[in-house]
Amino acid sequence: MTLSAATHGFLSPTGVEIAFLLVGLVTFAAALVTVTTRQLVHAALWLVVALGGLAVEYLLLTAEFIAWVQVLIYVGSVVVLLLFGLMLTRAPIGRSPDADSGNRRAALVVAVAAAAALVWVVADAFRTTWIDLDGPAAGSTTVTGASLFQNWVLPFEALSVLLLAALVGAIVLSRKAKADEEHPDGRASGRSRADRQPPARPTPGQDAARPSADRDHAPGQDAARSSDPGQDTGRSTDPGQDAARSTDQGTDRPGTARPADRSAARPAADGRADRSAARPAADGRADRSAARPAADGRADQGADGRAAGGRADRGADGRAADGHADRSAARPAADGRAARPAADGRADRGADGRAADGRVDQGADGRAADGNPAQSADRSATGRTADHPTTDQRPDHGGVR
Amino acid sequence: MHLAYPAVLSALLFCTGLYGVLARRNAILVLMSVELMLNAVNLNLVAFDVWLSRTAEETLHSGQALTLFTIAIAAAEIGIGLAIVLAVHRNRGTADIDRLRDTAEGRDPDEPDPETSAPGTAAEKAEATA
Repeated sequence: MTLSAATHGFLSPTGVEIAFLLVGLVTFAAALVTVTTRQLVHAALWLVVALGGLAVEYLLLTAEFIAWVQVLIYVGSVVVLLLFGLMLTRAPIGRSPDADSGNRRAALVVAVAAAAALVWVVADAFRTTWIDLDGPAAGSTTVTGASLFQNWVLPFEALSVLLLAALVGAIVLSRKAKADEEHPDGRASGRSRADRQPPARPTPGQDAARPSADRDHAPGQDAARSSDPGQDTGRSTDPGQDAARSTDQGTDRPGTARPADRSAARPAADGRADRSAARPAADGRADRSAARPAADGRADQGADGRAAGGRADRGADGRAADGHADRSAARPAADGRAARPAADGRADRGADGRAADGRVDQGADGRAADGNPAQSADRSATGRTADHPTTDQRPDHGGVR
Repeated sequence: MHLAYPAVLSALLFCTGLYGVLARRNAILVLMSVELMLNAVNLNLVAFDVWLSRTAEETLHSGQALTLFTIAIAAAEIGIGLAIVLAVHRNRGTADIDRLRDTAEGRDPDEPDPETSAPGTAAEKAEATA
């Protein structure tokens, strides 16, 4: 040590030292940005820079195997895991105002004090110590492998057991909540919350479902005036009220309708469930495409195009208004969902933030065909009915003409 | 190479991670800061192992072996930690560690639960629990 101290000048950095210093500056700056940025995803990406910089530092210290392990494990998997975590906890994409907690100033004081003390002590302690980087690499893969499998075999194997335990633990942790969801009696707190929540909402849900059903009546009557699909409109509105009624049943009896409540509350909750809520509607697309035209579009067209109301009715109602409405009425969760978005929908979604208006609207529309949702149904109905009726229309025209 | 360079960089990175752990609210950001601290320790281990492998007669390359172990354990830790964070987020509707005060001492029982009092968070919570 004294020898190396003699051969090195204290302030005459070598090329490796300069490279180390520069990469170290980049690493440290990236780490600082990681812990201070308010954009959560950016924090994860700056963490990539910091960890990659550390891999370069390992290379400069001739520890090549560890450098590549660092790249593989940290940059490759840990950051990806963190990004997954950010997405699954629905972290805001943009700037999040509450990324830092209130004790930020105290944390800054503690960190600066610790940094000052550590840097001072470390710099003072190793002021005259040099690492000899010449000669064969101290951390080449050969050396690391030999020492690992000669001297460190038992810890190495124990580590595999630990990784297995971590694997199983992670799976158990993420599975358990799902099992609780499936069994309504699983968690008392979760259940009471689920009970508390839905009855508060369906009330507006009914209110919205009924008026919208009335609103739906108007175009229906227009259609009825031009041709005479009277039953058409009647049926297309009835299911809506059925839906509203079934939400009543689903929620007014807190004792029995718990599964329905829970599944009704869940979708509004997280985006994934929303999507799955929209999906049943997408499955019944045939129904929807038939049912919605029956409500506004198709009945009118049928009325305009020809007087043959019979076939249009059969096509629209027989399949759709009855089948689809019944089916969705049989699925109380769907009705609850349909009624609620229509009800307090937009405002809630605003609070929800990222619940993707489009998706929820879709969910509302899908079931909106039952008779409610008024504007949003019409809005997206125009989009989707634009193609369905035309395809339906052609054979009709052909049949009539 | 001067041993102070990696040592000082390691100390700075560690304190950066320390600041992140103390100042961040999002649990995942805290996990990121923990990763930074672990990496600082790894850098120290590697630097001192390279130094000792030249100066000391017989080393088992314990620094590098322990670095590998630390990396593996950190990977396991981040997996478990994220699973816990996701479970908490599912149950509570938040990954904000400032709001998880169930075991905090000196909590006023009359004080309304911050999760249920704020309507926005209550809705969030219902989403997560239901």
